[in-house]
Amino acid sequence: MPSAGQDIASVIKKQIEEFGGELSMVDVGTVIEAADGVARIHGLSGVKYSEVLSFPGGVLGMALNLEENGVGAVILGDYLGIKEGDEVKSTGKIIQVPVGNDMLGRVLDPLGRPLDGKGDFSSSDTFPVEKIAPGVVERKSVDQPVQFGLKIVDAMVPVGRGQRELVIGDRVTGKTSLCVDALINQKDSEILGVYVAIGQKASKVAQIVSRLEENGALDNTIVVTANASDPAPLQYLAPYAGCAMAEFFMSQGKDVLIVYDDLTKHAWAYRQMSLLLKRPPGREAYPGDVFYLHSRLLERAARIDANFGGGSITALPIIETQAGDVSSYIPTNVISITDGQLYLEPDLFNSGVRPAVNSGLSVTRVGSSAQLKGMKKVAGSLKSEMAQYASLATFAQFGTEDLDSVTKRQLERGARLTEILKQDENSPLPYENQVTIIFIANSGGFDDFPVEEVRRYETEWHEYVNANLPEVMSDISKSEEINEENEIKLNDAFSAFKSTMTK
Amino acid sequence: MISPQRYAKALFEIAIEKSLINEWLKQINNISLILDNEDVIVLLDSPQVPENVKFDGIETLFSDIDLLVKNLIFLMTRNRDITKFNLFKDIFNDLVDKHFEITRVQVKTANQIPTNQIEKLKESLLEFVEGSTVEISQIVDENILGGIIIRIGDKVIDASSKTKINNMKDFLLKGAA
Repeated sequence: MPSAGQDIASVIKKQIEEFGGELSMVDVGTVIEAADGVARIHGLSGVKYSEVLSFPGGVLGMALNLEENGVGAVILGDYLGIKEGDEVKSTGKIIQVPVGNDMLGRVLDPLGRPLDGKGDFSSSDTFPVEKIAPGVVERKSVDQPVQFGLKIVDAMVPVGRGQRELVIGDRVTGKTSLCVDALINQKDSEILGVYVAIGQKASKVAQIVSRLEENGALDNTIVVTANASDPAPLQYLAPYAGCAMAEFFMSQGKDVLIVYDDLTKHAWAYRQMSLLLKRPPGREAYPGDVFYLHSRLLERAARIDANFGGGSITALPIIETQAGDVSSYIPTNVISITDGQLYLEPDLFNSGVRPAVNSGLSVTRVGSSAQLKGMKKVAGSLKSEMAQYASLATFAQFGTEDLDSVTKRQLERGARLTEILKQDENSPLPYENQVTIIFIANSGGFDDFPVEEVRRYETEWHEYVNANLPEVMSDISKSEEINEENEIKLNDAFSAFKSTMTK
Repeated sequence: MISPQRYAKALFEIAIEKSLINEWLKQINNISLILDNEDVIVLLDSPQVPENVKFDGIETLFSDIDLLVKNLIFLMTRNRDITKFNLFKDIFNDLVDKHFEITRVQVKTANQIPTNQIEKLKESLLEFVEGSTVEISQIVDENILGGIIIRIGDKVIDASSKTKINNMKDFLLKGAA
């Protein structure tokens, strides 16, 4: 494809000279049946699995069921114009998407076509949509963190580069919001983002795009979207296409954070496709390979050894549960594939604890080895305090009058720590601020403030410490540690801060 | 439901054993002309019509064909596969062609090709198809403007001017963006 600057005349000249030069034999077939986005085609005897087919009118399809008498294909686009008897050509290409740096900041469909009206982009290459995940030799264990900018995640359930962390919860518990916050926090980091929307409302996707844009994170993010109104095959392709785009960056040695929002709808789309292709249904009418559907996708998240070029893909798949049922088919599948989960609870969400992460039920299997030293130090005691608080809080529902002073103190501390871990949307907190606030809260700094005032004092403390102790903050940020000297300085500063506040 | 391919293979094997290939081929092609009549197919495929009525109908319609071919029609009717007889016929024809090493080629051009050129085309096609004979059927279609479209079974070689011009148009439109 010539770029705008290229001499178009020379290209045409070449075309004229070679006119008729490229002759190739293509496989053709005839549509014998077309319904609900699926076509049965007679002929096409030489077609390969997941090869792109060309229907009349420029509509593309993908060959999926290669059978004795023909081919079952899904139609990637408007299937209403396809009739019985139409001629279908094979293209000889396995399904692939364009990849490249120019795609950052764009909203694309799963075939890499722009949807944001900003015109064409130049792509340097194409990558196959389906790719076998990196093997054992190329991989490296997770040892670098992805900073979410959210205290509760970075401190309690840290996620490392190359990890697959499931975000699971009922509807409206802030799953998408949490993931978009994580993407927003990467605006100044070297991590690139890919947000894949599968079967979402177009209005919600538009909202997310504008949220990313307003917070300056769209420029290093690709949004791949197959909306609820798009045909199921496009929704099925979306996460693989997004992953292929991410793999391009990984192949350049870059780190990528990819959000699949959400895999429940992806499984639905695949179920629809499979049933229409007459593949036998299994449990809950999902086809037999629904586990492999997600396992092969999530295996492609990896951290590559520097000897093989480095780079990583961190995956945040989202699963929406029905009425908190994490033990149904698709959630258990994805839980078993991923390296841990962030469990979001409607009760927490409704009682104002946002992000509504249940720190007791959330797990990270590899992330803690990637946690930065300073955070690890302060998070240890935070975790045990929160665990104790969680068990006491249920007990204390029946009244706190008769409790001993130690228990009372623990309840008071827990309530304040819960306040500290709350965080608004679009307000990621830098690493050094997270460390200092958790350090102060752990040492009981906020115990003298009323619970409902804690968040206000937290904000003021961040401002205070950024203004008055810049050298301590930059030291923590650079060394990634918190040494004793700085601890003393922080404690002193907090006493001073407290006296100005209580005056 | 049994695939028409199975019927075709089975009948073809019997035809080879009895060396009745050409006779049966003719009969099958004749049967398919009769079965093109929708009323006959409806009668034979209807689950409401008793089997003996269907069989009587077959006996009267196809009185002059070989017993084994007739048996195939009985069998396909009983299995309710008779609607796929046309597909069966095509596959049977393909099997016969394969047996005699005949490759059928459909050639589409904008103008009628003179006979000597057809012979030339046959020779050049023989080089890359399996078999010893090439049979060409010609179709004239002015819409393709010029050039030639050759169709061999599932494969198509499209060297028509129309496609080339379309390809060029796509290329230029993409390039200009």
